[in-house]
Amino acid sequence: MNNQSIPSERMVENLLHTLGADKKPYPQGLLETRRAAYLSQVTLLVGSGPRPQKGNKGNGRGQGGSSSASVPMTPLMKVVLTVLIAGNIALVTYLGVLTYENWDKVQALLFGAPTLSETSPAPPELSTQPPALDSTPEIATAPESTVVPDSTPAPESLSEDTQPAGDNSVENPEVSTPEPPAKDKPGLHLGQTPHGPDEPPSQDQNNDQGNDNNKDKNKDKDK
Amino acid sequence: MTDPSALLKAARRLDKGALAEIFDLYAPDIYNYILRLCQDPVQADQIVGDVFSKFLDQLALGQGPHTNLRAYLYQTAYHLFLDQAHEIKRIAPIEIVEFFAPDNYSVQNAVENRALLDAVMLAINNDLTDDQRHVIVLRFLEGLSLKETAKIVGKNESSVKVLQSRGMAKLRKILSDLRSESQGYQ
Repeated sequence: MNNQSIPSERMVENLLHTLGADKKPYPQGLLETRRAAYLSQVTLLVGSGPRPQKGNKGNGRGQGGSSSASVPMTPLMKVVLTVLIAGNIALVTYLGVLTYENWDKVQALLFGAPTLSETSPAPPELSTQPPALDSTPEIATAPESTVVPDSTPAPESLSEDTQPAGDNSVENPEVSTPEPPAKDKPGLHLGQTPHGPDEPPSQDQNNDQGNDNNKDKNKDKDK
Repeated sequence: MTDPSALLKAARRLDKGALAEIFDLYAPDIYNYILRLCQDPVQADQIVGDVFSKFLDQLALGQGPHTNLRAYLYQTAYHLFLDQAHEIKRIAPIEIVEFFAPDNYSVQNAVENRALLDAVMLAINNDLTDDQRHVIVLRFLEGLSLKETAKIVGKNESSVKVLQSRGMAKLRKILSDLRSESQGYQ
């Protein structure tokens, strides 16, 4: 019963075509309004011409790309840009050379590198030298050393006086003690100290000066 | 009437006359197509405006269709309708169904009565799947070819054929049930 009542496909198609042929006309008011809006868009489009594609991505119905994108580059702008780029390259190169030459300082400045701690002890060493020079006169002017020259000639004079006697060498063992020659060294140092800070003399000069001083003293005593 | 391909070429050159003629030629068809789907004259009018506005935007960008302008416009309308489909009620009020019912000036001999057409339209809107509905409307109510319909809905022709046959089978069954009910009443 159902098979008999089912309409044929042709019949359904005819029904659909009938529905399709039955078109409701576009309401006149809506159509005129829509057409006027469309034609105004057409007028704008025709007046402005085709828009560049790049500037219109995501822009919907906008006016297209920005005007700055279409400004041609003049020769002057090219020259200025070239100079700026070349200047930048030169500056970067110069900075690179400076950095290379002063890499230790840069590294110390940036990273607080161990080179700073290694080099830091050096300045104190240099600064301690002047105090060392200043200390030498203190040693030279020490009262012990000043007493020594006064005491040193005495054994020498005694020795000169006793040498002619010759026999008294045993009687005065205290005078002929080997200490005076040992105390001559401080005397030599006394002769050095006035020259020391100004002109560090060599050992030969010290010996010569020491001998000269001794000769002068001997001459004075002889007089 | 101007040849559609020549009209499209002129439109791509932004010829104002060609653009105006395209609107006059296709706007009523697009309106009816959307109106059949959404049953809302205001919404159909808005979609028509969106379709042609988008068309102008594409032309301005140097894009848009190079061939088959009608399929392009229908496809744009189809996608715009799908975007708004969640807002559309599929159950058509009776007064709108009557809007589609044939009046005296368009009645053909094949139409037996107004109630049958109303039932067909209700079945299209309520009982078919979305794909079946679009294919049936485009193929039979709008008179587009299989190739054009496939392009609009984004499917290949064989898939469109399957959708069309299944939709037709469902409509035949619905009409059969209606006929059985009517015979039962009699």
